[in-house]
Amino acid sequence: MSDGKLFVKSKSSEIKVELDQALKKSKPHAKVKIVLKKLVANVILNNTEIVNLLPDIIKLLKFDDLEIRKLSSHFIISYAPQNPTLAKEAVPYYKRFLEDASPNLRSLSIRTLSTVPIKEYQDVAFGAVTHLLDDNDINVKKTAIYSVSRLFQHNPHKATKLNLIGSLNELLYDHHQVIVSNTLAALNSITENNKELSLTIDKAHSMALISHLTVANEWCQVYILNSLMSYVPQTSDEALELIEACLPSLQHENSSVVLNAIKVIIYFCNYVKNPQLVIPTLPNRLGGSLVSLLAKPSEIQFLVLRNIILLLLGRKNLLNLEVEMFFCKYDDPIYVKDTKLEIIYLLANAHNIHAVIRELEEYATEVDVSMARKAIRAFGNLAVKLSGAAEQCVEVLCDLVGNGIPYIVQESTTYPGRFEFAVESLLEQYTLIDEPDAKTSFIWIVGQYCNDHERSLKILDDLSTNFKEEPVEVQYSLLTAVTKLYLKYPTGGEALMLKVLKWATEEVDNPDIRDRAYIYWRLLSSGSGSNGDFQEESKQIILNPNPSISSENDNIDPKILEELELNIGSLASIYLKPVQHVFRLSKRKVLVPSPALQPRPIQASVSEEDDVIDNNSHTPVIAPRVSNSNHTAATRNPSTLSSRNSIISGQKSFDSASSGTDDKREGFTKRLSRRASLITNKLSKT
Amino acid sequence: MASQIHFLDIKGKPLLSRDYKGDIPSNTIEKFPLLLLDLEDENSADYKPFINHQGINYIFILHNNLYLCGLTKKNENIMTIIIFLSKLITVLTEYFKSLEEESIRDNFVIIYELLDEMMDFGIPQTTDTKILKEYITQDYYKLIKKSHDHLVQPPNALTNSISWRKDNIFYKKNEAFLDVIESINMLINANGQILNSEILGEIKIKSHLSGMPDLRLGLNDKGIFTSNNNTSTPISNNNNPGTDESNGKNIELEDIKFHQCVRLSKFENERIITFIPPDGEFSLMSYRLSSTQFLMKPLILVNCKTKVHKHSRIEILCSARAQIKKKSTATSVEIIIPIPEDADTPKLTPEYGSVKWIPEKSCLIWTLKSFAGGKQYHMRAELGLPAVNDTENLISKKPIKVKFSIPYFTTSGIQVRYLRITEPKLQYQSYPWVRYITQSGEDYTIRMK
Repeated sequence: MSDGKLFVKSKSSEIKVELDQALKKSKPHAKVKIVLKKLVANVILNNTEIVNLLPDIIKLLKFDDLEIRKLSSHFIISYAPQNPTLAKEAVPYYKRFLEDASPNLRSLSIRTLSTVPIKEYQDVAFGAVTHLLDDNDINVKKTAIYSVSRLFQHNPHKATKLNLIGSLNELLYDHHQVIVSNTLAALNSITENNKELSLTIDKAHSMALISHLTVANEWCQVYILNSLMSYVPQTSDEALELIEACLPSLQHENSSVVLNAIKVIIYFCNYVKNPQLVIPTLPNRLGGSLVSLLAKPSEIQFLVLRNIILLLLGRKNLLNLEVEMFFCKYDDPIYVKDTKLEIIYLLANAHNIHAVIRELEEYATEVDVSMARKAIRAFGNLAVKLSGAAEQCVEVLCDLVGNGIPYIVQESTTYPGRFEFAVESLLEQYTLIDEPDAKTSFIWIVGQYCNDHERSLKILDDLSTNFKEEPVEVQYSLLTAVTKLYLKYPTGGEALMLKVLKWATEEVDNPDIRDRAYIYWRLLSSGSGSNGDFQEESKQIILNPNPSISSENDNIDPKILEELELNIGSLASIYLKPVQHVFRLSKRKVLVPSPALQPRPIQASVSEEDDVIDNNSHTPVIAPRVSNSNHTAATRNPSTLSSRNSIISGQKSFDSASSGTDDKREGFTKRLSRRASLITNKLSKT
Repeated sequence: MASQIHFLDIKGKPLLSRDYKGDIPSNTIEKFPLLLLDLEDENSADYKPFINHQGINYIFILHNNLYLCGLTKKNENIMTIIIFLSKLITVLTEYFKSLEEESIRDNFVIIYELLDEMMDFGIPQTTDTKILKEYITQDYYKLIKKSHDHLVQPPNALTNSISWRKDNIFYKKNEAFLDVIESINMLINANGQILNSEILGEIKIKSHLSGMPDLRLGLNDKGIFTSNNNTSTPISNNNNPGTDESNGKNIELEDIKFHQCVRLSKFENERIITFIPPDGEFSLMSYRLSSTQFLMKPLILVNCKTKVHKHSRIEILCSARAQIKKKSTATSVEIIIPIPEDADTPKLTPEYGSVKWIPEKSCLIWTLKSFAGGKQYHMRAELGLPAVNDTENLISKKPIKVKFSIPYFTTSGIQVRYLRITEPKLQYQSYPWVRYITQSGEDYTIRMK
């Protein structure tokens, strides 16, 4: 019979009537069960009113029938907290079950007693649990182990006083692997929550644990592997031995076993010098296992991919991966595609750059606009990361720009490289640009590069017609661009420059814009009078060469990477953020020093690591860039004019600016405002 | 680990929940539908199977219009949680044929039983359906009544040292059937060049063997299974010249995964595959090979030219060639060609096989029941396009998909040399059988221009 039709919301009075009728029968069991199932359905349906039935249900515990007792307990666990006084009535029953001959009842009893957060229940549980840890039935023992964890959660103080940890510790030497591994899991959950406690094991014990690996079931293997993280190898040989002992687990069919094994192996690699030389197959083994986890559902893929990023950032030498494995499939969900794109970027090098560029080109013409944009951004980043490939990247970008598809043009303009020939093809498409970010960059390009003054005059004139309605960042860049144009081409640019400055100073409400306009104005008017050279000082200040964008961005703090590596497969590995940022109360994991601990290998630089961290977004493939907003910090300072050098450095960073998609900017802005405040500090000192 | 496990419908409304730890308020999950909406609202690109909201982490997977969601407050090992959730789906599917809203309601009592057995205090215990089925069944309590002492114990298997097989299995005829299945995934560009490809192999066993048999599987170790030190002609693959040796690009990725019954340490040390099999069907091992060495060209090559006459019609000329040995034959070949959504009135003329127009999926399916090696066939199709058309810019980049299977053939050349079966006590005669097949994987796709 299907239970589906029992799944209806009922009133407690109805159920009560039904229950009474059932109890009148000479063989009530079957009927009682049906009533109980209805009750459980109502628990699911969140019907709080049935708490009234608690006393009736407790009485049902006297039936010598496991199913009735289980269902009743389910009800009691759910509703006891709402009426502790009534619920106490059940305790004597459970007390009796603790002594029952049936192991099933003993398990049920200790589980219920330790779960219900009422003092009477807990007291009995505390009293009985030590005894049950020595039960001769393995299932009871196992339940008792987790009951200890539960008791620890409810009342850590009492649990410590009763030395329940000690009792658990003894079980670590149990001859049965099921008990050992479950004890490890329970201890782990206790120590994670308790600052004073930590698990330490010694060499002999860790080898004993490994010997259990071969017979344990998949989940037990996970717990055993994790516990190995509590051993600190004292010599490299020890660490190697442990790595080798974990290697077989890479071949387990359960992905969780595999990823945890990888975590343990990476951990022990900290204690071996150049592990990839000592075990030459290691990078292949690790890379291969990770890639084969990609043949799983997308949720799991995503997790694996995030961890691959983590490992690529810090442990590139230990992984051998081929970039082709990360090419996107048409029906990958977008979050998988994003993450793959990031990995493609991280894996790109001089050898595979051709394949990578071809692939990115494919994505750039994708129907899905956001994907296409990200691909184009990746081009920009690649050009910065691999200077050899820059030319090729820009070429492809130009091809794409030539297609005249609006979003391509808009994204591409965000990457004004060092390649002036790109400018030409951009200029042809400028009418398509309508997003503020793209506009800003485009205007900057015109101001900075364009030597065809007549044309740029026309373009800027066009663009500035709506000056007053434009967003702030566009106004900024227009201001700068027309000023630059005037400096290069005084005769033609003057009218436009004056027009824009007038608007900015008289009609715009934003004080920052006004300030900047005044600065330019004064600069220009004071410059003209000086020693012959036209506006020399202003030129020095406003027209400046591009700073070269370097990919050697501040790398991720190795400490953070180190901690994340100890947390492979955990939530933090997805967020790729320092653990404490997300989980304030969590215990910090650090590498424990030992004579064998090796210094962190210096990672060949990969740019943008910090972007990955800062954004915690799935699109960290964003170029290093400076947001406009910081500029205000530098210009607002009254001493700006007097300390010209500092201002230029501020200007530089502004000029290389190409703003990012707003919501993702936060991380940068933070860093930048730091940088900006550095500048201001300098200024006030001078 | 997981504090709570929830089953929710597609809108995020809870269907069934189990609280394992009691450290998160039980109404927390009610926020889930809103969080889902938020994700969809903002941007579909933001959808991720993990949400962190007010200190609670929602870890969820979508299956048959159901969400399975685990909640946790701490930095938990979520790989374990997510694998547990996916195994939970497997187990429940094996129990109820399919897992959907209705089957959850119909079986809520037994699902609670299972949840109790499969996880304790949020820590996964067992996810092996065969073993669970031995003591949790719809008829479980009936069994109790029949036995006199009212005690049905969880099977010894759960606590045995061999946790996957019970004692005293008996078959009249002792047989073991091996299936070697290789799935080919391939990404081919419009010019017929392979961009990436892999072989996903699997050896499945159906064991009908009595007692506690010990099996030993011998494979031809033609390169594949000799793993180590295959470092000829290393090509530096990264910036660190010191590690050339291990980063040689040509090394076969021989990634093998075994069922938990295989003695991994024995394999690690002696490269011998030995195991005591579970009863019935199971997947003994899977492996992955990047197939550059085995597949120089696509097994089934499809070349498709489309010509769009704006506002009137689209012409498709498609050719397919079976680039396999003359002796082999590919069977049930399906070539799925995407077409514009608004195309209609198809005129389909295949040289061989049959073509169907599936308007709801906007594609043509060209079916060839059998496709002998070396043969090439053409298909011509013409479809009308609406006269008014405002989506000209949306050039669909959907790739062509191909499905096929090739019996009696493995692409990698893997072969079973022997399967030795020994049961020390019973010493019966046994019969191993082996079958081979190569088939298309989930992603055998050819990009369109």
